[in-house]
Amino acid sequence: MKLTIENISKNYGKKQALNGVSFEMENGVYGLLGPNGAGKSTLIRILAGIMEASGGNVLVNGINRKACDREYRSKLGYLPQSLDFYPEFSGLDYLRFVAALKGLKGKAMENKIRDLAGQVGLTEDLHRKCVNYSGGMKRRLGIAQALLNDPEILILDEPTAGLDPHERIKFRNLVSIFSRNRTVLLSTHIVSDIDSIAKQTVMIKNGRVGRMESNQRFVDAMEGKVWLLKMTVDELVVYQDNHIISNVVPKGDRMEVRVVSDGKPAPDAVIAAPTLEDAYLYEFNK
Amino acid sequence: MKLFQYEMKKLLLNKSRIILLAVIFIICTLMGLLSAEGAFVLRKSGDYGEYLRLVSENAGKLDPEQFAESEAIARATEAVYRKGNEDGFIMYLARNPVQKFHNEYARFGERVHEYWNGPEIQDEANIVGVYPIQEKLKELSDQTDTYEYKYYKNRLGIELSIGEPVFANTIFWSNFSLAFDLSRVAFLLLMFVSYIISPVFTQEVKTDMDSIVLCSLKGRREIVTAKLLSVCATSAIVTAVYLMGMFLGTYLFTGNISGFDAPARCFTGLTWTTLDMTVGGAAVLGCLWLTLAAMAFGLAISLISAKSKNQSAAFGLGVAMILTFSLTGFFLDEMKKMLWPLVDFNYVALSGYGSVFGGVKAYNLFGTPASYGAVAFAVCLVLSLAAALLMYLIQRKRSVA
Repeated sequence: MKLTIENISKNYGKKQALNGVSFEMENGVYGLLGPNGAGKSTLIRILAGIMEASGGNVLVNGINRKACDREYRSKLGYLPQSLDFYPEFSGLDYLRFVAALKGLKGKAMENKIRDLAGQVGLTEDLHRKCVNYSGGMKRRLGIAQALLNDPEILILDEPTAGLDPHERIKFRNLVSIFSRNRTVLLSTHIVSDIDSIAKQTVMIKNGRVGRMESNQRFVDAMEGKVWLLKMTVDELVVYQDNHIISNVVPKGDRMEVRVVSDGKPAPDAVIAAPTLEDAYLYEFNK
Repeated sequence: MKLFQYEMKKLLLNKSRIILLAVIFIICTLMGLLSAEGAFVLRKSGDYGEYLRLVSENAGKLDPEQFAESEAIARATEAVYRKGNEDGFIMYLARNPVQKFHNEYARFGERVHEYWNGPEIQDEANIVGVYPIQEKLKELSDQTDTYEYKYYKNRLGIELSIGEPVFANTIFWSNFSLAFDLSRVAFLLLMFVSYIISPVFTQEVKTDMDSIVLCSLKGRREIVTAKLLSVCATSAIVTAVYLMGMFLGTYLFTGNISGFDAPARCFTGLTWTTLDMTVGGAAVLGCLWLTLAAMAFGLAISLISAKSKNQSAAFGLGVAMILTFSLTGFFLDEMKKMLWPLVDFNYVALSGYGSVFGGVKAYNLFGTPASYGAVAFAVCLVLSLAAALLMYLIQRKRSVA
């Protein structure tokens, strides 16, 4: 399925949250990277069809989304950034309710619920009230509901917030397996979430979309721009105000500082292999 | 159907709401007990057996001799004991069953007199009594095509068909009729309905489920159908709990439900009703009417809920609506005439079974008289339909902030 975002803009009164956003997605995992307040959630909501854009179009296989709204919704899975649950529902009730909303029924629905509960590790807790779930469990339940209808388009807004490292890895694997022949848009500000699984990444800043590239190309473009140098803590305090620092590691009585810079930041600086995180910092600190 | 079941679970069929329903039942039972307090005192009086004998012996059409005797006794009793507040006199009669019987029979005689001759002071816009109506029809004999003529002709036919009032032991039904009292309905039943229905849409906002619901296949239309059905079912269940509580409370103090098959006009509040049915039938109709009115009100609350951000706002607006509509009953006559659609057909007025079905009020519908009950029924349906359609529209256009 091909999803085309055409010149989308969104205004909240005088504030412009999105300004002429355009890009295309077709099968695979796409990362939407950007700092808080960049407009990621606004764009995600417009794509999910729960918010009207002030301008522009979303095309599904070349057809305006509004013209095939019901069909689009039947193929969509969505996990919002924040999600709470009905106090009187157990995890099972909740999944059955969302399954009913998605038009699933009978044995197929029950099998799908059991299967997904197993995949997100909630089988043992399905009969507990979901308000008593931990933050991570709630998030996993949210992921399960998004996958109930085997969506062709899966939109995930900050899906790993509240997950522990083990759950994060499991989630990444689940999305990776799921994304075959499907389009997944994963919005996050945690670079490691999309580092290994995203086919391409869209960087969004101040309501505008920057480059859309594969992660490897983002990393390749950073070649010769990442440096390692050593300094004291006092020097670091002054240094960090004027430079992009992606990591600091204590080494004896000094600090090994990873700096993102177009030029060699110091005579003793040593070049280092770039990562997507470096590219992210570089893009958003330009 | 599945969505309806889950909406019911969210709205009513969960632990906290079932506890609330039990509390409502207890409150209504206590209200029923309070309504029948006089009947309880009467049953405990030594002369209760004599009261039952007198009522039983005089059941049926008016006995002029008995009326004369009862009227004399009632007047004498009133002259001595009807001082201060009315409640005190009612309790006095409850403690003195024989005098209570004479008082009731005297009132019954007056009703029979009014049936034929109308009250001493007639409302010229709406004459009552067989003879005054016949007089009126004579006056209008050269205007047989007019609405007024058709109206009184219709009324005369109804009056003659229902016939003269009869005397019957309807002590339970007289007390149970307080369940349909407008103030109790407005400030108990509609208040409960308002509280229970108000989160129907706001809970989706509160739990951030709005976004998941709205982007799902059935989140724009089918969910509204499920919510509408659950609102109607919940309103009906709350009404049933209210009525069962009132029924039980009344029954516990009166101890019998005799008079079930007496004419509807024996049912307090329906003295001038045009319903040609028994007390039992009128009570059943009252229960059905109250259920329908509560459903219509429940749908209005859910419409408010669909436009509100939280339950408190929806409930607050519901309460404001009840208070405002209750006040329309206290408008001056001129105001009432000017604002009659609002006064007669607001949600509180519509839930007043006695006022809707207990009188002779009618409306001129393209030259044809239509009873208040019939028009109120149509208005209830129109209001419900409008609320439902608006909810579909709101949900279709709905977006998250």
